[in-house]
Amino acid sequence: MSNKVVQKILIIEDDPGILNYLKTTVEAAGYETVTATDGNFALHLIASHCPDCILLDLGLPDMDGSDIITSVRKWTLTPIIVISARDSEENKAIALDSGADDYITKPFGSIELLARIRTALRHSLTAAENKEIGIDGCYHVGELEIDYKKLRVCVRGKDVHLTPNEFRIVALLGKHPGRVMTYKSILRELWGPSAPMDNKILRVHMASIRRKIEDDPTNPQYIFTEVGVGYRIAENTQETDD
Amino acid sequence: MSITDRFRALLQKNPILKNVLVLLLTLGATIGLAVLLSSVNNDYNQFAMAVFIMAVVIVARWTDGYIWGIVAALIGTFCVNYFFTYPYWTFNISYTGYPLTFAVMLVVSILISTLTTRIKNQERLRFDIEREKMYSNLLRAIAHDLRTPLTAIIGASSTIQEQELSTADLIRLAEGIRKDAEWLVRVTENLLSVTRVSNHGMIKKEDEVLEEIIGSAIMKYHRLPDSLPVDSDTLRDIILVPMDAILIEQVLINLFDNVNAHAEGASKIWIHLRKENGMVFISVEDDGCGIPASLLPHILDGTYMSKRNRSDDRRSMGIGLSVCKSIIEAHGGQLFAGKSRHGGAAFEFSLPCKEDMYV
Repeated sequence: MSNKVVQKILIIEDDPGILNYLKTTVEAAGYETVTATDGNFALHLIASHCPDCILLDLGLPDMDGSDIITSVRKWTLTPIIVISARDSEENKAIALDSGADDYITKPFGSIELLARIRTALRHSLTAAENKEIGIDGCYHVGELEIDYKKLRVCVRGKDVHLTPNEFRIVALLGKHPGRVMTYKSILRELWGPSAPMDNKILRVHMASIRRKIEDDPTNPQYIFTEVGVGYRIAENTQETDD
Repeated sequence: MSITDRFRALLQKNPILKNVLVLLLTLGATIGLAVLLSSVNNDYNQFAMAVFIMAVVIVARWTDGYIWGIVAALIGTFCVNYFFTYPYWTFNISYTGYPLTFAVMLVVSILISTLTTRIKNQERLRFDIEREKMYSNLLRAIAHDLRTPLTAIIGASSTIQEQELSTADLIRLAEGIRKDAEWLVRVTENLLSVTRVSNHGMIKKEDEVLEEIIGSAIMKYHRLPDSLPVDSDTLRDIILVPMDAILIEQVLINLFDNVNAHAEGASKIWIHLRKENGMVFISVEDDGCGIPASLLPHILDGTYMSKRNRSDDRRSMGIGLSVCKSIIEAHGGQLFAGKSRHGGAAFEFSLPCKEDMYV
């Protein structure tokens, strides 16, 4: 870690209290910070400072959060973590669909925040494929193994016999460990852009997948539900020393 | 969504369309009725007038505001004159007495229409006042209970700022602040749920797989300090339950939280599921001290809080259970309290569910 450049985090937040908390926490964790309290200034800062990660509060006074994401995404793949309120699943889904990498729900603790930042820095959009998929074409997390060459999923070394559609869902999630995939993006990826936006099919598939890979489907270890938004597959939490 | 549901939603969005529809349907039916009466009875114009006045009352009752009733009165008067009085199929007010008759009918219709509207408005006003009263009571209770943790937070943080403290003391104070703040978060989340139920009147339901919601609720509950292990059944079949997932998740978290707050000696939480007659029953149970028999009848009707003697204990506020109740009732289900097979308390709620899906 010694010769590594300090990573820079841009914090876009209009509330001074939360800004103060975010800045202190992020700096204490060893990152450098730049802050903006409105959208227009933030866009300037992104161009001039090239941050490694952006924390964006969706409720800004001058601009809609998803507009910021859209305009940032036109020219950079810098990971964006959206900060949003609990009861606005739709806004979260819109933010993710317009290019945000992850979201964190207010109120949150520092451990959760830093974990999200680390995940975002590790699996930023620049990594088109999950780097943890080894030469053998497998992604391992816990006792789950997704085999991209043999197109099968094993738990504790045993094939769980997913149907082709079920495999495609798990395979898609496995390419983005730790990241939320919205219902919309999964449906679009699997059944094409003109697919009917029927979350029900996806939910039934997911219930069936859980019965095959989880010991206790109500207490999942591998695929987590983000209520009203989408699904997230577990990532390997041990820090990889790079 | 069925066609009738969609139609109802459309009418709710366009009140003018609804009013026009009521007006046209009522007048159409009335003309039909008047024609029918005229074919059985030759001396029918009195009938026709009575029938049209009835139509005005109906229109005034089911539309918004005065204007529609008055429009109905005008059209009705015109119809009676045109179709049902001699000379037929003409608009005629030259016969002796006719102008007076029609003027009287018009005035009577307008009066009835305005009276009906006024009564309707008064009824709504009374309902509003009633609701307002309920809200202000709730607000007062909440404001009162928010003050205690806020006082503790301000006290602790100002002590940290103003005094030299040992690290151990600092950590202890920070811990207190965090606990109080977390409690405040749970209260505000419940309040948000209340507005979500009462704002829309109709909650937004989507078909959800039950175990996903249970799983997510358990995960969130386990992030809280002092959470207990939760053991949940899984139904063999995948069943879809139409619900507002955020609200049902809140119900489950509240019920788990309730175990922590009130079930002394509880070591574990169980969730038992069963399906019966198109309803799914979700039961949250523990092995704690149980609900005293004397409290059981009152625990869900809100009078329970006032009966507790530990009035200073902020955790006794228990808006949690009443929030659960209103959420579940808004979904067309019911909340029950009772004894658990594991020795403690059991809170069971029902939700209407769909037929099994294929796997």
